[in-house]
Amino acid sequence: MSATGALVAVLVAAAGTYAMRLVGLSRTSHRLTGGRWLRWIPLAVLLVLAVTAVSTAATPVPSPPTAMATALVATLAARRAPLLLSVLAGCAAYVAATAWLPAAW
Amino acid sequence: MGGAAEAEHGRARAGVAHALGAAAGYVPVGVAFGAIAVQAGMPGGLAVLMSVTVYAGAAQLASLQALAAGAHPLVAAAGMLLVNLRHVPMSLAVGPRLRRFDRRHRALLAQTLTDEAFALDLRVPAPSLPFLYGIHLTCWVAWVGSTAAGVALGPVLPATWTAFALPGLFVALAVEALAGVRGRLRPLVAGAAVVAVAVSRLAGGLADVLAVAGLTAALTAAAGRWRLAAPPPTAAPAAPHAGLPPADARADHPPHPPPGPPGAPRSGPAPGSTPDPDAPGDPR
Repeated sequence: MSATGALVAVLVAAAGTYAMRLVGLSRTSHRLTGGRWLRWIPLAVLLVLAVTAVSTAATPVPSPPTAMATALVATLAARRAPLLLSVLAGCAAYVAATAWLPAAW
Repeated sequence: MGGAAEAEHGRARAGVAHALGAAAGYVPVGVAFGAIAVQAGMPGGLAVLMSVTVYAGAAQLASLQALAAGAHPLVAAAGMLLVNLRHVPMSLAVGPRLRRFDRRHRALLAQTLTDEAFALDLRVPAPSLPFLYGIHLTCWVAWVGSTAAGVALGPVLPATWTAFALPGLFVALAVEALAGVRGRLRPLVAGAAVVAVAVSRLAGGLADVLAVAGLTAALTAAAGRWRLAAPPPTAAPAAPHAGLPPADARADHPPHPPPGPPGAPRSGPAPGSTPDPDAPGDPR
């Protein structure tokens, strides 16, 4: 990995991301904020990120270790377990499943 | 003046407490990012700089794969920006709450706006500036600090240990966000997300953006047809010993947050439970 290239990527991405974060905070964006659709964006973003993160590259179906860890995290989160506990339990379940499940899975 | 300063410090501390759950959730992901970055050949200082400036876990992790594969830096940056496009609607959604602050504060708060900070911001109806700084800076410090820790641990940490940190965080947050949907409709909404992701993959690099747009449109349409949002939490009677009106009844608070803002995973404070205007509920 080229350090210079990575630095360029970081700076460009940082500037662009900051511009995105700033766009809604300007006083000229009032007209864009009245829609009912805005209420549903956070849920849509989080669901898409979650499905994308647990799915494989080819299909939105997780691998067996990922599916087991996902089920555990979802169960804990639904029972209002602390976020850190949910994530750590998921990591532990993933490590255990990866080690113990047959490689063919 | 001393009392005012103490009140501001108290609000900032309340913001820090409000954000501790999310900040703690950042730690395994930040450690994972730092560790994976150095394992992929990125200089540790650059990994920390990326966390300081880009401050977006999914994009940062996505960029490592591209950079390690030798992609052009601008291609890697474009990939990060595509993943980060979700910040535009988030900024638009949170904008009305932050526009009352001056430009300097808006500029600082914008830099530290993330999915989690966004969700935490929305959980308090009219947050004060110190409270918001408490939230945003706690999350930012946790992310940058855990990245530095990951850089240090990277050479000795097995990659499998950190592989599920980011998916786990997103799954937990998504399940929390689903609490804003009426119970029997939650499986349908989750299923719609799977369909949206599967269909949008045909669009290649724009898949995530299209999936979010499509799912948002579907949820908005469904909310207009059915009662999709969960009802606001039942108001508990005001604590008789508090001597204060319920928080919802104070002039600077709307009666409730917008019904079921689904990105705000938990309901706000129980009315009357605390006199602090920034009082969060469960600080997750």
